[in-house]
Amino acid sequence: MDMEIDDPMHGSDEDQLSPTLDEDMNSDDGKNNTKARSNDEDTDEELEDFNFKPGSSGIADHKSSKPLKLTNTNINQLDQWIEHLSKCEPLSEDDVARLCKMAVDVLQFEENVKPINVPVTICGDVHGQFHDLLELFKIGGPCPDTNYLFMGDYVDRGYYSVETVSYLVAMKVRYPHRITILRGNHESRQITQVYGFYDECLRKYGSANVWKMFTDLFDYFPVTALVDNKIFCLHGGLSPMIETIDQVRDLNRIQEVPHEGPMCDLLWSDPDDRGGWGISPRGAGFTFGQDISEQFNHTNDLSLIARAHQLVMEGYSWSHQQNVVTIFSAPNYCYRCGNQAAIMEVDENHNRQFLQYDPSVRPGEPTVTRKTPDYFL
Amino acid sequence: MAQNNFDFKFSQCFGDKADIVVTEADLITAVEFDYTGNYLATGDKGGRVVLFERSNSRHCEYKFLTEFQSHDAEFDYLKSLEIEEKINEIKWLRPTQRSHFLLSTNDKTIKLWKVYEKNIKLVSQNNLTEGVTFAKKGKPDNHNSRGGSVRAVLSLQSLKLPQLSQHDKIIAATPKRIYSNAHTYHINSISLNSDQETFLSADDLRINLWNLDIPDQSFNIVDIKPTNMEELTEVITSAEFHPQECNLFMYSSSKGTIKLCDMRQNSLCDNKTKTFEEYLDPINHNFFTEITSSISDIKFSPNGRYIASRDYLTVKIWDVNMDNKPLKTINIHEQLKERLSDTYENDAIFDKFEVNFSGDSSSVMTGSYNNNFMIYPNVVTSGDNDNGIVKTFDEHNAPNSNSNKNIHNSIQNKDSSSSGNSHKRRSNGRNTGMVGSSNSSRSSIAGGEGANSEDSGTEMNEIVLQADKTAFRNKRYGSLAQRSARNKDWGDDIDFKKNILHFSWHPRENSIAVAATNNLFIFSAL
Amino acid sequence: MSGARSTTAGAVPSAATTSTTSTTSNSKDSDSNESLYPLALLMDELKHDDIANRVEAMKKLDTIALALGPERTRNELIPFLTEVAQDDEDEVFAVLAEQLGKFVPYIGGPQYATILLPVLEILASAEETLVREKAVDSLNNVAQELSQEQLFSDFVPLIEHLATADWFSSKVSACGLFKSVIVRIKDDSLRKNILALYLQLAQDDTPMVKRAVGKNLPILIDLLTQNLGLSTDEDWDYISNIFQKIINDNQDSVKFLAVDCLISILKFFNAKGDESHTQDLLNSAVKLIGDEAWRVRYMAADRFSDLASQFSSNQAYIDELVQPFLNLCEDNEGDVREAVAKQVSGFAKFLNDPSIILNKILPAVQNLSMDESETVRSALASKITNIVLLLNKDQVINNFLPILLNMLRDEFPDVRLNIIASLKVVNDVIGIELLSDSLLPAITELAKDVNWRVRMAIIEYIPILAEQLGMQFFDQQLSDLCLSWLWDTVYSIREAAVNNLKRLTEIFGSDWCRDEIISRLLKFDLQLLENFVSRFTILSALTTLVPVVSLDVVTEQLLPFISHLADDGVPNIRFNVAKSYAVIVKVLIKDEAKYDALIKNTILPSLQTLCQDEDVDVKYFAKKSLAECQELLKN
Repeated sequence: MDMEIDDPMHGSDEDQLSPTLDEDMNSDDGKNNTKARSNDEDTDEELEDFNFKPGSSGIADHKSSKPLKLTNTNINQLDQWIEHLSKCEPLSEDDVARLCKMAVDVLQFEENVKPINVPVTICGDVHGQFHDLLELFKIGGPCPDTNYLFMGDYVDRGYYSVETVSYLVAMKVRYPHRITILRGNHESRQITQVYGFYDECLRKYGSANVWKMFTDLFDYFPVTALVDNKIFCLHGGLSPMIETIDQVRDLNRIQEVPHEGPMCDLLWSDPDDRGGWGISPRGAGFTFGQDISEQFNHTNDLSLIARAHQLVMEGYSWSHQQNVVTIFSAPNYCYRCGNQAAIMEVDENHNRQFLQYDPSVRPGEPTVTRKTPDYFL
Repeated sequence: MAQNNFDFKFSQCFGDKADIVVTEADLITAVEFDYTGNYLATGDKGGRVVLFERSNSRHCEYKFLTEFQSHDAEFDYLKSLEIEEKINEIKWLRPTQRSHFLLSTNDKTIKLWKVYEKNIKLVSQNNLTEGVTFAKKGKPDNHNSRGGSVRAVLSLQSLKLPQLSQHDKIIAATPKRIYSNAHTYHINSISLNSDQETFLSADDLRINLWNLDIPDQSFNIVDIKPTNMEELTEVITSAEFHPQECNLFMYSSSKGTIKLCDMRQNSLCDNKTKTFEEYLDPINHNFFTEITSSISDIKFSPNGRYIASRDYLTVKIWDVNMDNKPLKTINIHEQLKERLSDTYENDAIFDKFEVNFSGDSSSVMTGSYNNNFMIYPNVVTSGDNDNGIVKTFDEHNAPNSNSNKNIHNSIQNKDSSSSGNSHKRRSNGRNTGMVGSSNSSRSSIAGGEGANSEDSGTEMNEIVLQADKTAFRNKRYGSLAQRSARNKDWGDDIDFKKNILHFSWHPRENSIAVAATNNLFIFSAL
Repeated sequence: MSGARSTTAGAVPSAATTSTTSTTSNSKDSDSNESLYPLALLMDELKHDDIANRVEAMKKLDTIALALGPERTRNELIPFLTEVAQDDEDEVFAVLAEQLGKFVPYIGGPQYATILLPVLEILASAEETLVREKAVDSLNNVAQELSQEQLFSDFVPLIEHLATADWFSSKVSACGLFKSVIVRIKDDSLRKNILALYLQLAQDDTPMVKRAVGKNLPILIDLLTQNLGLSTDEDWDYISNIFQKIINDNQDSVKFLAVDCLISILKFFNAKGDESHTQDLLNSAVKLIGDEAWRVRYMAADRFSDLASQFSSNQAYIDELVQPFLNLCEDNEGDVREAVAKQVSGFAKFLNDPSIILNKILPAVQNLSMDESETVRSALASKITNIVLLLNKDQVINNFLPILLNMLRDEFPDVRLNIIASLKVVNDVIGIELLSDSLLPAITELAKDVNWRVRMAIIEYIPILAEQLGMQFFDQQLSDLCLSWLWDTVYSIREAAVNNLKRLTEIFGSDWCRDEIISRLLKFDLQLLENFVSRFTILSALTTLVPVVSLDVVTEQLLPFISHLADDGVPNIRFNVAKSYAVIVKVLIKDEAKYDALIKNTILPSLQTLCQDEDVDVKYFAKKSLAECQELLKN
């Protein structure tokens, strides 16, 4: 991909031809993540100041002891919200509060390793590209008719993070057995303050309340899923401190994504050609080689590790001789990378089929066109 | 005001004079007079726009009008990069009856600002605060909590429309349109079309056309981005619409060429352009030629007949009808020719100097170092070939039949006396150019003893002024010529930080506004 | 007009629902207080310091006016609004300008309408385009209600005042007001002055004003065409002078408006049967068609058949347009070629001599069909088939069919789709056989296109084609294709394929569906049924067909298969079966006697078991269907 532009003109820094568009966006997370890490110190103070403290949104203050009961009124309200959101219109702040409270009473009872049955369609990062999420449902089929598993990163970078995460959470609460939403590295307070979800909430709601509600809710998202005891699904990758799936079950996941440790690695690590464990360029999590993934699949009797977290041009890519697959569901990522997106359909006999698709037409975005616009005629 | 009086004298200086440390945000990065010259705008690195208003019409005096934050620094989380709030360029729209409109741009976003006098009125009397209370049966939000206690009966007749009392008058600035997300690279120029309906914005590789009323759609009319970025050799450095012809615009490139495009030929203007390029014999190329030949700014003359282009060492005057060589080449700072390696070391060689025409299209001005800026009075000879703008692009196409008559006759009457040489002149534009003798000594131009350029009979004078503290002292003594010469002999101590990049020439008189780091100097010949 | 002034306003629009009724004076204090509170608040909001509140209040001006009554509205509200019109934000002005257009009834009827003019005049001079446009619309609305005296005493002076102001914004608005007066002025000299004023505007030095003149001129001319007797020759001197200003302006954005003006002028003289100017107007047309600016050529190309129609009375004029038309077909700007490609059939119909079509027009069509720009080719494909109506069968077969078949193989899908969408007219002339051998590959090619939206587009044409081509052709050539779409990887294609079967059944009938479609659907081998997606697709296909096939097909063939899926391993299948039962019962209920037992003994029990299903969604949809069925059975 020819995105890296070194300026043959010896322009001085200030008129450097163009921003060096990092070729591989994921390493981009890293570089900026180190930036994010570097400002971790100051965000820690920020977190101390009251309104950023986890749980301060109050959505989990009266969480119930048993799972949410879907009464008819609940169902009608949810169906209404889903209809409203499907037109890419954000909910009111009060509705978001009510939705998050209901979602807590669904997600808090899900295990760290959410069991899932086949058939299921497994999807990767969406990153606020709402209209491409609608395209995904046109390809894979509507929820609830098709079972879905999303592996995190619903927010940041895209223009419609609010509508995207509200829509998926509303679907989860309405059809808890038909759709599963895991946590990605972007479902965190620190990262969303850097990569746009925080700014978008401020712009669309005038305050950080909605941001606080969703970032508090993110703490309850399950971290991994296990399809028919055969396919282990998570956002990032493996951790040196996790050998068996049971160890994941023992984690206490209801917290902000830590800077290191098993929970951080599961959301930040990447597969790598080099064997063994390596330092990740992202500055969080590790890189793991084929030996690691083969060992993990063998110990846990798995046929595959499915994960997302990395941009791949064709939407999906195999690594470690089909021990690991990366799935990425945000086409033309950042409205610029020109990549395809993909989703993976797993049928009752564990046959896997990848569906690739291109970005949908995006209304409302400012368009630069080479076709003569009507205002010129 | 006779426009042939070039005795420029210091008039005013804005901005704190403390010489110590200049805050980065105060660096002035754009200066622009409006169409009438009654208003002056400056933009700075901190994203602010400051407006000045003519306070005295007889001699040239301006006073502060208002200031507003045009752009803020942003983090583009789509591409994870910082976007500076620095104002790159300001362009005024044609005046309307009450408000002033101007376009300001930073690297990524263009904004249309409306500046108008707004009177602040306070509600002196209305229904609810008149001490009138209401029977508040179950009224949840007691709207009237802040007001009166007296309980009065409200009848339809007693209902009144709010009365207002004039409180204050302020100058307000509101962003009317925001044109964003249309440039992958850094915007370097914006320019309004004579149809007063569209404008262009140019970044390093593309030029977009906008309709002022439609901020969410732009038409990409020039795209020089190569499919494989490794083969990139040329970037766009500046662009401007023709002042009268709605279909003509030009853009300059880092390879020293100027391309004139005709929007009537095709909707996309990538090819079929008229290229202004001077053939430089490769033998006298040196390592720096590639950098110093990069054009930093181009301007059409107000009468639309000429183009001025500025590169690091020279200003070139072109006739719109003659693209193979410039009419004139003026060497701006000859003494830097030997010191190019120093300028390369300290990056000064990449400074982007602007160039401006005078209102009557007869003279040009540009800037240099040590706070020096140069005025070349009547350097634009007129009366060469007399046909109007010939916009032939493909040879076989006959010259444009309705060539613009009014341009032609505007040249005739404005021809200022001092350099009026109507006889046929053989302009030879060879690079010995106008200024001074080619020898490196900084021959003083004073007294017009005439550089030994081959142009017989034209004594080309160059006025060099300094936009710094010395300007205050010089006001009282020394003729223009003596001051001009003294300013030119820098010796070896060139202060490259004191560069004059941004300035503007009053459209109707010989007054100029010059940005010197964080100060705005006004010079005038009135 | 000075009849007894009625206290209440004329036909007060009932739409203004207000909580206050002006006749509450006799009710108790608290009531009047209570009901007047919202009105008092609304009036205060007119000057609330938050602009959003002011805009909302402005939207309810009619409520305030209605409550205040006509007199106070005239004496207090209008002066207040005149003040607002000079000092507030554009958003408020826009709403104010729009509201005032409907205010005549609130100020006491037409005799007071001129009170509205000053404030609207101020708004018509605003700098913001939207505010001006709304003010001009309102002024034109008010003008409708003005008497002749009011028109000449107030409205015409208003136009003159705006037209002679020194700022462009007022002059632009003035141009939009002439249409309210031009035909109401019976006095020739007054109309001459008005046209002189319009000419003066046409000579303004700002492009915005000249554009406004150019945009409004056709409207004025069309009005004169509707009142043929009104305009004098002198008027037309002015009009042609104005037209010359526009057609010779060097601003392209002004000059290209001349095309519409020309068409209106032609319509006027054709209506009058006056051919004396036609040659000059033809020269103007040819000049515009060949203009150096492509945007002007584009405008001429885009309206070519409209333009040509005005010269159709004399074949000589039409012949003079042939070469300019052919030049446009070879224009160097793609947008121009695209515009003229859509006008080929429209223009050709004015050519009496078919040889011109064969020897000149069709070669141009041939080139356009191979144009390098795909948008030009697809524009051609969208309209060209109508040309067959101008040729006899042989000419179509020998000269046009090759081009058509070529376009059916165009690499750009839109070209093929546009041709297929407009085949009916060709089918009527030369029959489908000549087409079918290249039509089918074109369809199958589109059916396999990698872009699923192209596959979707061809599915949508199948019913139209089927209807045109008939059942026999369909069964041989297209039925396999229609069934194959059921197994497409993309859900939306499968869904479209299911709907396609339904629409085909509506065309070809239940028996056809039973024999050709359902029989094949039910016979799919078990290996296929192991896949959830296939089972889901068959279930939805059968369910979609239930309402369009005969009841015995439903009971003998569809119901058994659907019930068999009721205990499917995947909950998604089970809850969709529950939904299908409701669809089936809704149909069977029509012959309740015959199927009452079947419903009660097989369908309802199966639904009841589904209501006990361990999956919560199956339970939900089963209960919902059961309730629906019981509801149907009750009545």
